[in-house]
Amino acid sequence: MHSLMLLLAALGYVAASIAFARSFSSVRAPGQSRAPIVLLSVAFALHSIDLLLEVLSAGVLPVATFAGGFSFFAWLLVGLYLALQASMSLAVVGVLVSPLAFLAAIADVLMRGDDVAVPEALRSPWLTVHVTLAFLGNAVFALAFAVSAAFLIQQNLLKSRRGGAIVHRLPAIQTLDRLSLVFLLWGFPLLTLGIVTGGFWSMSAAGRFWTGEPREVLAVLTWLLYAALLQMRLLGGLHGRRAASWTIAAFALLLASYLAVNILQIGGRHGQGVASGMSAPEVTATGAGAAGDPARLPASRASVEGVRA
Amino acid sequence: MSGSVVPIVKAAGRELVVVGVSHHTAPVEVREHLAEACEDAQAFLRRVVALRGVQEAVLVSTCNRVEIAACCSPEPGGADALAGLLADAGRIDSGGDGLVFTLRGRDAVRHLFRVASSLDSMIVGEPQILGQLKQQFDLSAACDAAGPVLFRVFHKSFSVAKRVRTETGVASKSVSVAATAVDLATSIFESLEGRVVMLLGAGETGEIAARRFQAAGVGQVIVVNRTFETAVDLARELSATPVPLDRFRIYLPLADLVVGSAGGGTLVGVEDVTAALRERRGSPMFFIDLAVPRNFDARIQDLDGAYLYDIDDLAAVVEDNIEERRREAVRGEAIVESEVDQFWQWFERLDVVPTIVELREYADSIRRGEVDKALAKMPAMSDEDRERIHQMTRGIVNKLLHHPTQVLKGEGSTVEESRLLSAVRRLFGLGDGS
Repeated sequence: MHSLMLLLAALGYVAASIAFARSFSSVRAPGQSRAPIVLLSVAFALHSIDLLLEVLSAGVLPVATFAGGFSFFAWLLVGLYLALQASMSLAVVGVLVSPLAFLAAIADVLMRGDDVAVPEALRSPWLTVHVTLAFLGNAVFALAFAVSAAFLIQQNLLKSRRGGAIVHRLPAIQTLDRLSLVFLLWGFPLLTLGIVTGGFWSMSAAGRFWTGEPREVLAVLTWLLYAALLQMRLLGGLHGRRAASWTIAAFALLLASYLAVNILQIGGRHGQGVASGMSAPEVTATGAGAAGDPARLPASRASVEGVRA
Repeated sequence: MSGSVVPIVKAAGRELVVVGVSHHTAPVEVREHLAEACEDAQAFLRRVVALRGVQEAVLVSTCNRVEIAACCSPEPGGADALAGLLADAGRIDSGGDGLVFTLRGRDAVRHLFRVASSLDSMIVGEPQILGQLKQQFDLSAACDAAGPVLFRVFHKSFSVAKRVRTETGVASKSVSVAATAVDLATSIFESLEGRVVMLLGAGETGEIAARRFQAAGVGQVIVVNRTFETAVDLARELSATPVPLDRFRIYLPLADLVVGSAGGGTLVGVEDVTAALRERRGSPMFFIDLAVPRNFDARIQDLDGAYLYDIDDLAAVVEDNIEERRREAVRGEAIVESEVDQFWQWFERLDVVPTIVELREYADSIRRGEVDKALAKMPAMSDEDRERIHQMTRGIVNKLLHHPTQVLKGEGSTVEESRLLSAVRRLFGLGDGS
C-alpha cells in the first residue's frame, strides 16, 4: 500500500526529469515554463506522504536500509531545492536533482521489504535527530557540489568562447561562486550538529560518545576537510575555479566514505548495522560498546541485512 | 507589377491584398523615393483610399519596406491601382517591372503575419518591427483608412507575432556585437546593476558599447583616452569619469567590464590583470577587445576570474546566434501557416452567400424533420394532402426568412455587415460566428 504512493512519487520524478530536460534544452528563455517545478512539487508531496505513512507505521524514520536512507536523502534534497527555487531560478540544479530523486525512489520501491523489524537501538529519538541533521547537511553539500560543478562547466564554456545555448541556461559565474559558498556556510553547522547528535545517540545506544571506528574517523576527516575549505574561502581568499574544485573534492570524499561504510562495509561490525547517515558515526547494538547489554541485540538484524544486501 | 487581374480569392466580395516594395524586391533608391512620398502618411493614405476599388488601407513603412495592405471591393482593379500609385511614388519607370509585388488573399495574410513576426526582416527576429506595425495601424485607423477587416488582420498578426516570439527562439539571441557582449556579461555577473565599465579609447566603437551597457543598467563608466580632452568630451556625454591613459592602472581594479577600442596595440598586460584580480578578491572581470590591433594581452584569458573576448570571438558568437535564429524561423513559419489557416476560415465565413444558404438549409432541415414526424402519426393521409402540408410549411419558413435574407443581401457598411453576419451565425448556431 505504502509503496504505491512511493511508486507514484517515482513516476512524478520521472515526469519532472523529462520536463526539466526539455525546458533546459529548449531555445526559449529558461524559466518560462512552470511545468517542471509543478511536477517536482507533486512528486515531492507524494514522497512526503509515503514517508509520513512509513514513520506512522514503523514509529521511526525508514532509514534502516541503504535504499531507505537514499530515498530519505533524496526527499530532503528535493525539498531543499524546491524551497530554494522559490527565491531564485536554478534550473540546472533541478536537472540534476530530479533524476537522482527518481533513482532513489525507485530503488526504495524495489528494495522495500514487507516488514523490517526495527532494532531497538534505532528507536532512540537521538537517531531521528542525528539522521535528519546529518542528511540535511549532506543534502546542502550536494547542492554546493552541484553549483560548483555548474561553475566549472560555465567557466569552461565561457573560456572556450563557444558556449552557445547552454551558457544562457546556466546561472552567471558570479552567482554560482556565491551560492557554492552559501551552501558551505549552511552545510557546515548541519554536519557539525549531525556528528555531535550522532555522538549522543552513540551514548544512548552504546554508552560511549566516541568508539573510534572507521566510520567515525571518516566523518571527522570529512568535517576537517569542510572546515579547512570554509576557512580558506572566508579568510584565505579562495574562490573561483579552485574553490569549485575543492568543493567537488570534499563532496567526493563525503560520498566515498558513505559508500565505503554502507556498501563495502569497511566500517566493520560498526558499519553493518544501519545506513542512516552518510558520514556521521553510527552505532548499532552489535558493537563492542553494546557487549555489556546483549539484550539490545536486534533479533531481526538478519532481515535488515537481507534487505540491504 | 505582377501578373493578371483575376481575383484569386474573394470573401464577402472583398479581397485582401498587399502591394509594395521591400528589401527583397527593390533597391534602396526606390525605397527611399517611396519613403519620401509617404512621409505624410495620413495624406498618402487618403490618396490610397480615394482610389477606385480600395475600401481599407494600412501603410506599412519601415526602412526595409513600403507596403500597402488593403481590402479591395469586388470590382476588379483595386490592386492594380495600388501598384500604379506605388510605382508613381517610387518613380519606377515602365522598365521597373517586378519591383512592386502584389500578394492576394491567403498570400497577403501570410505575408502580414510573417512581417509582424519578423520572419521577413533583414535580421530575422528583430524586435522593432512589431512596434512599428502597431503604430502604423493606429495611424491608419486614426484617419479612417483602416476598417474592420484590416483591424482583424492586423490584430491577428500581432498575436501571431507574440506566439512566434514566445514559442520559438527567433528572438532569443543577440545578433549585434555590442548586444552579444552585454549578453555574455550577464553570464558572468549576477547582475549588471552597479557594475563599473572602463572604456579604453574614446572612439565611436567604445561609445556604442558603453551606451549598450548603460541601457542594461551598469552603474559607472570610466573613460580612458590618450588625449585626455577627448576622454573628457565623451565622459561628459555619458555622465562618466575621464581618466588619462597613464593612470588607468590605478582604476583597473574597480572595473568589472573593460572595453578596449583604443589604437596603439596592447595596453593591458597579464601582470596588470593579475594585480587587479588580487585586489578584487575573486570578483570576475570581463574584457571585451574591440580594437585591432588588440588592446589586451591574449594570455589574460588563462587567468581564473578573467574572461576575454576579442572582436573575432564576438563575431563568431553573433554568427552562431544568427544561424540559430534561422533554424528557429522554420518553426515560426509553421506557426504562421496554421494561423493563416485559422484566420482564413474566419475570413471566408464573412461571405454573405454561404451564410444565407446555410441558414436556409438549417431552417428546412428542421421543417422537414417536424413534418415527417407528424405525418408518420397520420398514416391515413393521402399523398396529395401530404404535399399540401409540405407546401404550407415551406411557405412559413420562406416568409420567416424573407426579411433576414433581404437584410443580409442588402448594401451596408462593412462594419455593419460583418456584425450582422456574426450575429446571424451565433443566433442560429451556424458554426463559429466569432
